[in-house]
Amino acid sequence: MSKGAGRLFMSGGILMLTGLFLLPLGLAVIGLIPVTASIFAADFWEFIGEPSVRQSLGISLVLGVLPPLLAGYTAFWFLSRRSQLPTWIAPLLAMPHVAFAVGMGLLLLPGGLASRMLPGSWEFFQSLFVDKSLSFLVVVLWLKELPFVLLMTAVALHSAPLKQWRLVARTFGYRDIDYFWRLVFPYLLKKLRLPLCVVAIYGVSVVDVASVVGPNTPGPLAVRVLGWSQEFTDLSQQRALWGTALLFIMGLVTLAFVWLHERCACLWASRQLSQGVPVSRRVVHLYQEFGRIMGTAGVYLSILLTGAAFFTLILWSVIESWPVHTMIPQAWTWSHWQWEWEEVVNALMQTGFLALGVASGALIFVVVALELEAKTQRQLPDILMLLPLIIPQLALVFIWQQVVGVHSLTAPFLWVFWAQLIFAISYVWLTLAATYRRFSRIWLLQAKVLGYSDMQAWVKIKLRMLLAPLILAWTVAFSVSVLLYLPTVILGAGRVITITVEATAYGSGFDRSLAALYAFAQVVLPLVVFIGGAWLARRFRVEDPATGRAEA
Amino acid sequence: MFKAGRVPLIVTLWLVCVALSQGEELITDDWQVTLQEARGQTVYFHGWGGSTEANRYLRWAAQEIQQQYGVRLQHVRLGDVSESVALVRQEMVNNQARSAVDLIWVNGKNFHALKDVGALLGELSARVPNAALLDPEQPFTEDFGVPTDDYELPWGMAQFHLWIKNEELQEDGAVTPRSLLEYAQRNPGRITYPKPPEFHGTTFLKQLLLALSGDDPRLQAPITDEARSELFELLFTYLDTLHPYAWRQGQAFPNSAAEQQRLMLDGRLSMAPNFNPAALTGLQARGQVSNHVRQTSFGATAITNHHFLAIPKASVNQAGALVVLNFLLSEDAQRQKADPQIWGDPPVIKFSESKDVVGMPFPPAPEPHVTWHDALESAWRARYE
Repeated sequence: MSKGAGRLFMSGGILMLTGLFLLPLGLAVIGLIPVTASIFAADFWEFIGEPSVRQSLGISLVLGVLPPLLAGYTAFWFLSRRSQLPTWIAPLLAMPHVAFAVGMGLLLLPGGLASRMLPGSWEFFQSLFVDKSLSFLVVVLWLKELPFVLLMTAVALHSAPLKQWRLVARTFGYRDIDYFWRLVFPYLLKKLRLPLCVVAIYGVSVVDVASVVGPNTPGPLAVRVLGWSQEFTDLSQQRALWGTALLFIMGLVTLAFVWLHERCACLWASRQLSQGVPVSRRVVHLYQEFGRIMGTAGVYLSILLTGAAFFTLILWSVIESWPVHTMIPQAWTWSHWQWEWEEVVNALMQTGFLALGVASGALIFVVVALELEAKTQRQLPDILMLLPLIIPQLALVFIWQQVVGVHSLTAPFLWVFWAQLIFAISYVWLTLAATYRRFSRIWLLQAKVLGYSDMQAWVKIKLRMLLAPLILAWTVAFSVSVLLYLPTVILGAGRVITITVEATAYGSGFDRSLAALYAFAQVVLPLVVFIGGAWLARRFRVEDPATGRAEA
Repeated sequence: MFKAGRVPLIVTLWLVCVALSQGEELITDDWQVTLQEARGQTVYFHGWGGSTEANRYLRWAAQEIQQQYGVRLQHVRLGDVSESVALVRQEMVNNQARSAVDLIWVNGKNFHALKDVGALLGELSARVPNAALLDPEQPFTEDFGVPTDDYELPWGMAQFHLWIKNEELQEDGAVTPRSLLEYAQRNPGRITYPKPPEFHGTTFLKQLLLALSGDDPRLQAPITDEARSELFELLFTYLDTLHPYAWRQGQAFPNSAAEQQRLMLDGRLSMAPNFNPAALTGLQARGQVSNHVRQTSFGATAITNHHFLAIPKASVNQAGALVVLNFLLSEDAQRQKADPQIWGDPPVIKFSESKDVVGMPFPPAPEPHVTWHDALESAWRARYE
């Protein structure tokens, strides 16, 4: 690249980073200051003192802490004895959280598919899974987040020089299992810090899944904040504000927890390593067995249940009637599909084009930002790039709406595109940044020695070698765009009707067949993209000689 | 307010009206302008999108309106219409001159929230010719105790009742607080109600209060401390007794009537609330609800109310919204809506010939005064949430 072009790239990139991403987020943070400051009012402490508010806080804390821990350890246990992931993990990400929750409910709760098809099992399911309980909600979140954490763990493992580590560990006389927990585990925790933070924040802020299967006397804080914000009395509006501030603080608390857990675990591992005292054989054995069972059971349960939930959705969309206590449906029909076909196709078209644009835009944005990093030798703080996932979405969207205001009518697609882009950028950053930063400049230098220009080297070497993670990041961004609800409805002024908007509406109704049909339609696009992406990534896999492994 | 000096003016105006022959042409002229202006507009109609019947009915309406008036009706289906109410209120805060919403399906607190901030277009009945067809015998000048003041027009009517799967729930042809409690005690875990402030849940409480107090007249007046402590004592003593036998021992409640209806169809509950008395026939005809289900009132009378349509003052396609509103109040559209095979939502206009009109099956009870509504909700939440 010539000097002029380089400078142009730099200034253009910085302009884009600031204008598209940092500025609107800064704006939102400024908007949040008075909200957060409202907690210094005297009534706020009265509000917090209410037993039901404290209970909600407790529930949200559990949701922010347990799912990342459970998903994290299940993934570690599973991968501590395997080097490969089952191939169908990536497509599991295509299942939206709420469709998964609905599917789990339709499947596992008493009266659901399982209890209908296995006669006499009603009581069993009733005792095992309690509708609208914290325990069921935690199980749903754990199994739903697991594929994401697994994938992130696998990405991290792929880039570690495992062979050398193992060799060193063996020379020092460690067993393989010790080697994993003392050497690999701390490394993984560091690499997974951001994904686990995202899972934690999701737990704190989740609304849709929590209202489908979660407790409601009282519910988690996020659900109540949404409820207060929809009540329009001065008191409930005030509570919604306080709740938003609390959500933001809770988010920070769970982040601190993830970090603290990582510090403690690493400390433990390094002490184990330096002292080299093997724990008693019995304890190790028990732990190993427990881990083996939990890891395997968790992962296969997650795969099985996602598949079954998907199947349940298809099934319900063609059921005409299914009287209770009968093993199979009484009547089948295509009429739901015939009635809705046109609407579904229209919504899918809008959704698909929007998601194509958003995913590509986010990918380009992040690659430019990462190239800027490489050029300036300075790293953007990850926390900054993940800000959109940390600020409560409802607050963020309403602050933007205030600014966008009337202009949302003149170009609704543009605003929805932009809002979705910001969330997609965070997810792309999450999936791509670590791998991209690790790319060794030596390859580019070698290419230049061989006579390639900067641009040629970049396209032919770097892009080519990073193709698989780039594809993965793009598919994640695509499904994020498909699944975003609030930014689409509020900033799109009702002009942008995606399949998720429709699925949310039908999901609130009585008609289970249509709810299932739209939920299925919602899964279709991400599913196709994930399967296609997985195939492409495999097709264009490039070996990285440094680690002896294929990239992602 | 009446000033003698204005008499000549009023007389002149009256004369002008008469001169323009039967006063009708005056409206017609304005209406012609509206129709012309509306042609080619797209009307964004925000409303709850969870009702398949309503959605398909509106699809039919959209085709008719396109054909007859050249107006495109875009139904914006939402999981909860209060999302749009919040949007319109935010627009008011922003002083936005153009609203994203052209027409909105509301009642109760959502209407109050819009009316309170002055977001709605007034004098609707003068702007919409078919408002003249509205059935004067129906009490739609109030919406949950707040005067509509012509800021919304009724679209359909509703009557609170229960779907039940088991005749044992009834006594003398209705579910009463006593029969409900006795049934629950014999069959623990089969009774519940949607969690207030969901409006079926709150209406369940109101209906319970009416039945327990023997239609106490104080419920129709603004709430007083004395009435509150006396009547709430009745209500909460009853609920405290019922909850241990309720679904999930009263530790959790369905989030909506739709959710409770699904639970009932899954065989997990014996009853569910509903607001549209004509819906069951259609649902049973389509096989979506078993034929064992029947509907009954909760208490001797049934709270009867309306759902409404309103237009934001700042709506961009206002003429189009008026045309759509006018069409939805036409005899044709109201008849189609009342057909149980299509939606089964009771009409709000008087039909020219009243054959097979859906009437209200239960003796109507008015809504308790609006002050009771808020008091009930906050007392319930303080106690059970």
